[in-house]
Amino acid sequence: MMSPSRRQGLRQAACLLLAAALLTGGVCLRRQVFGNPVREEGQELMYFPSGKFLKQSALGHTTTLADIAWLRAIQYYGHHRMTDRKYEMVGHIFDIITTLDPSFIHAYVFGAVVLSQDAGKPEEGLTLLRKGMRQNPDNWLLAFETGFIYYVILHDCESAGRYFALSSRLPNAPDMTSRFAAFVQEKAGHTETAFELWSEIARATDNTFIKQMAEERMEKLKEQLQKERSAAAVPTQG
Amino acid sequence: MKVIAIARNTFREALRDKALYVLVVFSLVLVVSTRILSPLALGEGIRITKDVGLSALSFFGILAIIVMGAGLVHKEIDRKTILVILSKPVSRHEFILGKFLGMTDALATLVVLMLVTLQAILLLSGRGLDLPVFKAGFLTFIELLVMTSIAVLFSSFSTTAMSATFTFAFYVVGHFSSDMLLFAARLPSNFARQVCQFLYYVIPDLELFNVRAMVVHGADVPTDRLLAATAYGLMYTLGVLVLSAVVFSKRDFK
Amino acid sequence: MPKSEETVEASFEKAAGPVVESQGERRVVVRAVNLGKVFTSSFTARKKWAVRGLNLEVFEKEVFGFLGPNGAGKTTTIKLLLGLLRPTYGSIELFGTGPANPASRAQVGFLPENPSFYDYLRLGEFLRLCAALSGLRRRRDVERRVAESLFVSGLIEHEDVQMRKFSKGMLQRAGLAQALINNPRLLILDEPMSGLDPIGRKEFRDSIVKARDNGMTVFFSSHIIADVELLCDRVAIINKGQLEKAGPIEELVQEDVKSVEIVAKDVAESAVLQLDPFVEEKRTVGDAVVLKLRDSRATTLVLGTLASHGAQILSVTPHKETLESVFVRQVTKDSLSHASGDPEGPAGGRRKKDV
Repeated sequence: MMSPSRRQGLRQAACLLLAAALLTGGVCLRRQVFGNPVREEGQELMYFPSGKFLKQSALGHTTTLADIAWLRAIQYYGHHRMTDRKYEMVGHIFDIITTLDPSFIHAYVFGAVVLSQDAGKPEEGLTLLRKGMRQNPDNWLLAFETGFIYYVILHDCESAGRYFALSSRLPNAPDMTSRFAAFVQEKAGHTETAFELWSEIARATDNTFIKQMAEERMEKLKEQLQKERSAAAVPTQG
Repeated sequence: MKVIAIARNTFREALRDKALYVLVVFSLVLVVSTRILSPLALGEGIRITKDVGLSALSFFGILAIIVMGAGLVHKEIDRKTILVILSKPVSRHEFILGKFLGMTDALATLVVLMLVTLQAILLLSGRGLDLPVFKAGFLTFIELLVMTSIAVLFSSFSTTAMSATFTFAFYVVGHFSSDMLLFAARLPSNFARQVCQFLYYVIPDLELFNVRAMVVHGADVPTDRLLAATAYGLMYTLGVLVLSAVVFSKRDFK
Repeated sequence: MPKSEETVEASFEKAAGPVVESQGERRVVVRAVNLGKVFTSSFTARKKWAVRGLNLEVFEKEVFGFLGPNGAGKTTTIKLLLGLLRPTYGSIELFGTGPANPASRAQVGFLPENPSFYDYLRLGEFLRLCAALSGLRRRRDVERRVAESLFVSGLIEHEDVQMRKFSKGMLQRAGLAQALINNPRLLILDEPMSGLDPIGRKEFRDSIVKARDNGMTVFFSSHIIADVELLCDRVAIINKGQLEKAGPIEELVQEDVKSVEIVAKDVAESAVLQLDPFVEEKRTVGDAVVLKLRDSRATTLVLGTLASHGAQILSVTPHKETLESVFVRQVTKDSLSHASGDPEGPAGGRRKKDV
């Protein structure tokens, strides 16, 4: 015969076990049905509400929401960079960020770079930059980035030159913008200009991803430059 | 002065209110913890800290107002402590003013703590003094003054729950205030249009106090904006307080 | 001064309800004329008259008892006096000023029924707050008064204790301390002894007496007749929002008929028959008969008749009405079937005054 206090103790232990079992079961069920959030990155961002809706419901905290979206975007990008290199939702998420905070220059820049360079969608990148320029017509960096994409990715010297020249006329534009405008106008060898552009980007940015990207490109371009120089040198030997 | 005695008492109540204490601590911890996220932000760490700091100030400020301000007057009526106070030679409006000042004192403390923490973080990150952040914080404080006066008004004639609900409703609609006119133009029904117009004039435009977007991008807050918004806020607050005093002076305490 | 009393008397005649007589040259501290208060329920729009046609005068330096059953309107009247409720009609003056003006309460101390104070405050902080609200400006004055009231109420050791930890008795003492913080000339107490143990009640009664000795006017409401009988100079009985009777206790009690109780042995039946018109009640206890006479003036005649019929008189006891019976009779006058009466009952301290 158990003493009443012992019986109560056992009853309490049984209840605790039951609670633990139910809660664990709930967690497992959640994993089964709704999947591992880390794996389903792309799906999640798809359900991210549109920028306009978020802006309305933000109650004035639009820039903070933009920051949250920014962090999610970086997570998304970093994750896919390590895995499948497919960036389907990038345009969507950067559109949201820039709708929430139209002055978020870095978002336009990074979004455009990722879209053009990594996702292979330079047109979408340009659309994003154009949206940025509409909202921030005085910003030289946006114009410069547009020129950059036209030159390096689309190989469109004329448009690139126009945008570099535009950016050089905007307030606070550094000297290199007019230099690049000049380079492009003179059509001085694509590879060298491209190399210069990338090294400028690598120097000026705080964004580690962009820096890595720039340095990779610079390596490749350096090799290409070597080849071109040796190829150019050959005929004199002949 | 009697108003100050009541204000000091209300401030003491806020200080000893565990819920408020938790809110303040939580908001400060939140801001400091954004530094941990900094490496993930690709260079936007300082922006995020400023954003979260200023947003938390507004958000936790409103939470504090709903938690404590909504019951400011009604709690005294409920607990019958008001009988002791008003049986002394204190006028009804002195009471209302004292309660309001005590609450805003508590909010001012929250604002100062938050701004000092933000500035400390900025200094430690080598960014130097950031005056625009103080201006943004100041305007948020004015916003909180307006919302406190609304909470006091509702608290003077309705229950704590009702007052909290209405205060929250004003906060939400207050951020859509300028959109009210747009809605007014687009809605088909005449009645709906008039409602929207009425809401536009009656409910304070809280977006006027929101300069976060400017400040987070490093821009300064123009002085005329600062002065105009402050004047609007103070006038609105005073108007609502006078209304509260009138409503409260007619009350019976069964 | 007498002239103004006359005009007041004249206006009293117009008002409904009995009037409290003025006493000589003493100043009136509280005056309510034809006071009425109705409460309208917001849901049903039903009106309830809490106080109707009330006239009241309280003179300085007296202890005035406001007696009535629960729900009679005592607390409502007090709240009307203090400006916590606005009257539906009628006028009120405290020290000659209406309650809408906070200055009318500068000399008033109030202790509500079942007081609750700020949980989060320590006693000392609370008393300092009350002192400041009473109009004491200088720090020195505030500290002095707080120290004095802590001493008088016996709560010195509890100055730094949070009031949420106070027992009922301590709360009552703290309540009295805050009521006395500004050395008021008028002390208003709403059911001050409710819920106190006998020792607490005695202490409180002593405080009231001490206050009166210090020249304060004390106005307190109660449904405990014994306390009122012990302490008050004058009493008003209120029932269902109306003042039923008012005046000095002796007068109120004297108004009622004195009855006489005669206990006798060997009472012949013929004697009983003869005495029938004078006897209100006849009881047999053992071999004796108890006769309760309708009118005390018939005592001599009845005694004579009994003696001449050979009865043996055992005792003759005149009964003076007590305040309790006055009260009960007054309160049950209108409601024949049920008495809302005194919950204390006979156990509460009924006293028989011997002639």
